[in-house]
Amino acid sequence: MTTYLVRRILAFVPLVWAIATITFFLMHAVPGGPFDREKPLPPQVMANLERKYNLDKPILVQYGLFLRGLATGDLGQSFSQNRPVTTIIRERLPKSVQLGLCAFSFALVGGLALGVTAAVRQNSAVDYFSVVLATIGASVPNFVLAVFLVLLFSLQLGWFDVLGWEFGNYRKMVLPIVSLGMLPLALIARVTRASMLEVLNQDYIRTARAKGLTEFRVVMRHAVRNALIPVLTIAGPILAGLLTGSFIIERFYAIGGVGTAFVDAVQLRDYGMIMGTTLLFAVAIAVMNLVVDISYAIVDPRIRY
Amino acid sequence: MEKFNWRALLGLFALAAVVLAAACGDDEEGGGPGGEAEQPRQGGEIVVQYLEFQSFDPHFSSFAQDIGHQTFVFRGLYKLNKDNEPVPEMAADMPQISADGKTYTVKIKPGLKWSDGDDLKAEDFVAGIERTCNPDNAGEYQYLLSNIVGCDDYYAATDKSAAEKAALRAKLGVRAIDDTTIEFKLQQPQPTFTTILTMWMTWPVPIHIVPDGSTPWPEDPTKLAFNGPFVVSEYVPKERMVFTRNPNYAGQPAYLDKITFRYIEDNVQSNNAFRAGELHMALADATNLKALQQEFPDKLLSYVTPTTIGLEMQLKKKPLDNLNVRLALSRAIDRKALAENVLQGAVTPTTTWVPPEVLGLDPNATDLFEEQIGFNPEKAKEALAAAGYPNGQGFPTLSILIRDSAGARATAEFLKEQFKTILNIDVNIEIVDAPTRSKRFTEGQFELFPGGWHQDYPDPENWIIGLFDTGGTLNNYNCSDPEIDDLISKARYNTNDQERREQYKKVNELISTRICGVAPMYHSLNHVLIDPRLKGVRENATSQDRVLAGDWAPELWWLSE
Repeated sequence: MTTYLVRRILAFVPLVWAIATITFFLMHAVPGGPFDREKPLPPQVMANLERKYNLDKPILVQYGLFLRGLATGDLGQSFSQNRPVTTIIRERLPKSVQLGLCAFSFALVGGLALGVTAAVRQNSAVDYFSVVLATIGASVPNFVLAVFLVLLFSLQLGWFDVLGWEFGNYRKMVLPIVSLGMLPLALIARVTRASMLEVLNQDYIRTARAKGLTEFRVVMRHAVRNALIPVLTIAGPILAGLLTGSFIIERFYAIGGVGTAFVDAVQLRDYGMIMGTTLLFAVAIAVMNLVVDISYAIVDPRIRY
Repeated sequence: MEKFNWRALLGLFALAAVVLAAACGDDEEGGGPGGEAEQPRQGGEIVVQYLEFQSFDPHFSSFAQDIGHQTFVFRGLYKLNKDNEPVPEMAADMPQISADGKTYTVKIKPGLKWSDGDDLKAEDFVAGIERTCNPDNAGEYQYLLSNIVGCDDYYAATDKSAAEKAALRAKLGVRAIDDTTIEFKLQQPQPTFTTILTMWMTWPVPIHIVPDGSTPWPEDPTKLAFNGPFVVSEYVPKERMVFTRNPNYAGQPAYLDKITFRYIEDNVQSNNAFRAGELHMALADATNLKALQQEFPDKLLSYVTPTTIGLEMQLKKKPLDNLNVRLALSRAIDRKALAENVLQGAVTPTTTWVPPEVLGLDPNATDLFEEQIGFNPEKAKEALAAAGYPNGQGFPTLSILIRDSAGARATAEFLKEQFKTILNIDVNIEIVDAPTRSKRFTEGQFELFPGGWHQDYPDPENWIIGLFDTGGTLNNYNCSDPEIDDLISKARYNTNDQERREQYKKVNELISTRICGVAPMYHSLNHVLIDPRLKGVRENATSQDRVLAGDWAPELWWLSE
């Protein structure tokens, strides 16, 4: 297990390097630079700006400078905000992580409960309700859902605020969490239901029932645990996605997270921020995949590394 | 691609929101425009939508939202009043100008203080000019200080050694004679120099905090010292900035105790927050304007901003070098239909490059050159035939370069359709993202290009110099007209204000009627939702506004009970 972990973690280094290199050259190949503005700048201003941010140097020199910075954890300066990229990410990531964790908990608890209940009471009203909810959750995009939630709960009922995120203040938490968590909830519910249905037909469930265990014990101890593996597989990438923020939800509720940073950076050709956010996403996904692989071993004793 | 699909959808749902809200009846509060005169009152706190700044350094910034923030907390020697005339702000009086018009001496008010209690001295103002001319700081508005002796030389010293840069800085034509007197040396007498001294790139530097021009501005704006009506007391990136009254401000103290900027990029949502009472002022969602006019007849304020958008044409590309071709294209554009139907009344149609009010004309005189270049299908066809392309025969396919946005697409589609129906010519629409479009524009790699100019300061020269003189740094459509060049060279350093304005009026006429690079189409409007209790905003909405109505003078905002 330890060697496996060390090997996996060491593999992050070439992964990060490869992603950084590809992104670096791709973004410099795209036409237009950070100072190509709607209102054009005079040539001398352009020259001084490029000097200030080392953009006047040959591309390979810039690449070398970037790699040197990366090795020391310095991602350089954001052109659009005149501050270090690492500072910006450090400021914004906590909000995305808070929101992401809340949305993930909402999705996981809701999705599992819905999926398990639906499978246990197959073809009942609960099951139909869960299928309908899962279908709606999966097919209604979150920006549409967000607009409806705001219309109903903020403007009509006045229960929640229209804007913002503040941990601990329910008026500012519920709508972003539901908007962000509904799609993963639906996905988890569907996968759980399907997986539970399969497990409930297994011989060992019949054995458990034959032993005279209560239905609750059968489901919770024997079925759910085995049904979790497919859920875990999708939960990892879902969590990685939620933690690194959502462009649409953060923009809509005006939450200063890291989700908006990536799209903004690309539109502004903010090279430092593009690299910073790309690497953040890459590392988050790699780490979550590792966590999923480890948790397989915990859930399923047959899996060993 | 994805972005605009969801934006369009958002628009639809916003519409639904409006219908719902309207159906449920909106309680109108009293006190709309035209109520009895109420006296401004001290105190109160408000929250308004704003766009986050990119740089807080006035000697570097060029974005409207940056300058908007800075106006709350910094001020220069002079400021423009509501009528766009320079009046003393930190200065004690108007400048003393030498007989040759090349030396300006300015006395500042005695006893000026920064918000942290440090003395605000003449050398702080000198440091501001030095910082803008400093090549290492790379100030984006340095070119407005070109006329100060040595500023261009210093700014161009990018590759020089530190010692050479220091020598060039020492040669700058600005110095502190004593603690309260500043002297500026100009290369040429400049009639607009006092106006330049109202602008952000000339504002003082708290040198007790930022000692020299190469030191970056502090990352945390609350660590700065301020000389404007407010100070920054809290800043949460991407979320909000809180301003409180500066007790050391030398002008009339601000009425409001506290103003919070809430950073919101999505106007659909800021409008919802305005409906829910979370904001006192918000930018109206321009894609939903007609519904907002119904919903908020007393709260929606629409007014002309100093922006002109036209169809820019690359004069180096055939057949656009032919005046008759340009006339044909311009006359085939139904500007009223474009403004009303395509852009939902978010703009106002025009045929003049420089807005009428900047030229000192009636602001409603928008159809100045309607006769020559305005919509007229018959005259458009005649001009095209005169250019040698009767009924569009043999006319090459031109391309319109636009950025990927809903408004730009709609405009381009409209133009394409008009050119086909009226002139029987084909154009391609080429869609790229914003930086690519800008790059192509500065390199002159375009044929037709919807674009324009937003004013930096309210003087006709700001609309013309560098933009239409042969070889001008911003003249990317290659306008080159001896008559225009001659008039610009005469007007530029003409200290006879009236004569100078007449000369620019003539230049504007030549640019507009000869379509020297741009066929004007419309002036943009600013649309703002304002809580009726918030006063001093509507009254001060002018062309100096950066983002919100009246944000050039937040010290005049107040809240009625």
